[in-house]
Amino acid sequence: MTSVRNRVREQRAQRGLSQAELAAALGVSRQTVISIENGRYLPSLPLAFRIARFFDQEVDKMFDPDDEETGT
Amino acid sequence: MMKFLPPRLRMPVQMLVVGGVGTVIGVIVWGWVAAVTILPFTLIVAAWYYVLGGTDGDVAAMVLGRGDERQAYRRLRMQALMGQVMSVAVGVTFIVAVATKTTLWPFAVLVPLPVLSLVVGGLIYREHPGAGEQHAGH
Repeated sequence: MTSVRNRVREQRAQRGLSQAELAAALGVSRQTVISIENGRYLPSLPLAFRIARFFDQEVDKMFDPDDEETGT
Repeated sequence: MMKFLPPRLRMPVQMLVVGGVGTVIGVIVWGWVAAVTILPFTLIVAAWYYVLGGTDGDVAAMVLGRGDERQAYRRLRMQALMGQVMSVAVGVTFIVAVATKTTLWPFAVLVPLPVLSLVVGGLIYREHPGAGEQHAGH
């Protein structure tokens, strides 16, 4: 299974937001934000786009597959 | 209905109303024994539902039907597991019923149900080829 690192916690911390505030902004539960930050849950594509747009980032800058092959 | 009540109270109050009616019917039909069993059960479930409504967790979100996509996915996996367990249980119970030569007619309904529900699920949730479908090589 592909594991995906993400920068949600880092971006959230930079903006000084709590997990509850981010969850409310994204329309998900606080537990889901925690799971995404810990890499336990891989968000759906629509939610991944919502997260990226919220932080004004591109999706591939927010989510980075661990097993991404280079030079292909 | 019950719009005047806070959202957290609506379902517990509905449970109490239904439980109360059930208790009255039970008392009329079976006597006071019904009240002793139905009423405490109703009170406990309604109280549990109310307490759950105030918590901030996955179980509360799933039970109260207000979950997000992760919780909906989790609920789906739990239901899938429940379906698998039930299918196995029906099979095992059928074997036991044959071995002990007990009544088999309920299994005529229960045994085909898992397969039938799989087929129906496959039909309901099938992907319809859309107009935007592309053929290989294009």
